[in-house]
Amino acid sequence: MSEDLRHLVHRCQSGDELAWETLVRRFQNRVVAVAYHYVRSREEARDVAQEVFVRIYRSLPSFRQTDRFVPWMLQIARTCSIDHLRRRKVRPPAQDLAADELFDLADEGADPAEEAERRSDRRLLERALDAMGEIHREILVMKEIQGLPLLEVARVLGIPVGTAKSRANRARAELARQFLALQDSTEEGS
Amino acid sequence: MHCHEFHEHLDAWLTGGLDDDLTRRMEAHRDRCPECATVADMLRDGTPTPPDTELLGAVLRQTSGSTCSTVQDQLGDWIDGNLERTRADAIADHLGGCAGCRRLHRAMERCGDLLPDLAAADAGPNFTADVLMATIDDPSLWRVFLRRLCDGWQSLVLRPALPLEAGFVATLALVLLTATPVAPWPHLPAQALAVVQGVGEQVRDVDPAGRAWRGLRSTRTAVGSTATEEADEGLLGRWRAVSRELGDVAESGQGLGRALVSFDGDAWLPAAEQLGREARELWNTLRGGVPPTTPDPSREAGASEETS
Repeated sequence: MSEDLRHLVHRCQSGDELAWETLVRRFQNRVVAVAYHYVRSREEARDVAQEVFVRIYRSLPSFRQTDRFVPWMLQIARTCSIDHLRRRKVRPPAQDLAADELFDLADEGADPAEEAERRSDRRLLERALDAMGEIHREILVMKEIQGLPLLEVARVLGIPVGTAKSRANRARAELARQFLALQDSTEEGS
Repeated sequence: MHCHEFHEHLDAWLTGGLDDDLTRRMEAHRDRCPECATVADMLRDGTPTPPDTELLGAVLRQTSGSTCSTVQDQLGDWIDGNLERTRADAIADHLGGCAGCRRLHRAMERCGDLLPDLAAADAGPNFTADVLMATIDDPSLWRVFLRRLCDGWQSLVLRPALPLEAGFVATLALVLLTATPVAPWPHLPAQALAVVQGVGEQVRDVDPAGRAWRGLRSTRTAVGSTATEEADEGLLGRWRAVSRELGDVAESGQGLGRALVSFDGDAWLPAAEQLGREARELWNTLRGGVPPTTPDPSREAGASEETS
């Protein structure tokens, strides 16, 4: 964890309200993204994310492992998302257009043609993610999307490191197969 | 020169071991025969023959089976450079000969390039303000206290050892209060057992309060109580009122329990207040209403003289 983030967390623990606001702004988009990958609804992802930050705020004074703030935050996001799904009990269908708007954080310096192709491939990737099983999807969210190291992924998901490693490899291959299948069906239809 | 003769002398010709006449004849045949020329060129250049993938596939099908699934499971580690050299080289060889796995590898690299784009999503313009309102902007000390109480309760009930610890504490308390030489309530277990046995005898009655009351009355008779019939009926009426209040308290308690179990801090306070109101009404019912005593004959005589 960067020294800047460690210092920010300490300031929040000391009661610095501006530091808390900075922390929220820095990680709000990541938490919403993680929540969305579980609940598959934009509005509910924002509600879950808000609940995540409230829990973080309450638990921050007793949080000691300041080097693990990001994995801890993502673990809370996972827990809140799963709790929300249990309360809801019904999984709504994926909203492709909402996913477009949710993740369309445009890169201002990108070539327009490349950006268009990238956006098109990203839509396919979102649909491929949605077609995957929950176990494989969540390990991709934690490892490949959020960039947690394998050890932290295993801790967040509560599984052995070896299981996390083999599951991650299979998940990447499955995602690529789904991606190719969607690509082929798109090309056949066009 | 025929082709078979060319092939017979081919090795010697390539190594320069033929006389001039035979060498000229070999060169002339090579110029006329493209097939023999190709073989001669391959042998001379040391060009490896391209792998026969059909043969490889046929052999694998009859022996260990296809290796594509094994390779695909390890492609992630191969892309990340996490495999030992011999294994990595074997996978590279497989990719060189398998178009399907090559395509999957390209797709995995493309997905790996795109996945970080999904790390952050638009939280909306008011998200931070909403979070700050729910956290910092909460000045009421009473609400802060309730929140901390809820958090403490959540952390307490979510502990897996709680039922065991609660059972141990309850057992310890029961032993200390009833079964030690200095216990303040040593007769409580026997009294409780008598009440339960008395109530159990009235299971077929429609009126549960009356049934419980009659059980209690029989118990009182067994232990030598001298209460009168009228006093018993007055107590029965109070018992029924108490039963109703107990039912209300139980219902309020269930509401509070639901609020606690669902970790809904906003519902906790109203449910607790409702429970408090019902408990106060129960207490008032228990305290109020002196049971009617044995009628005084002189008082009845005076009352009848007044009415007449």
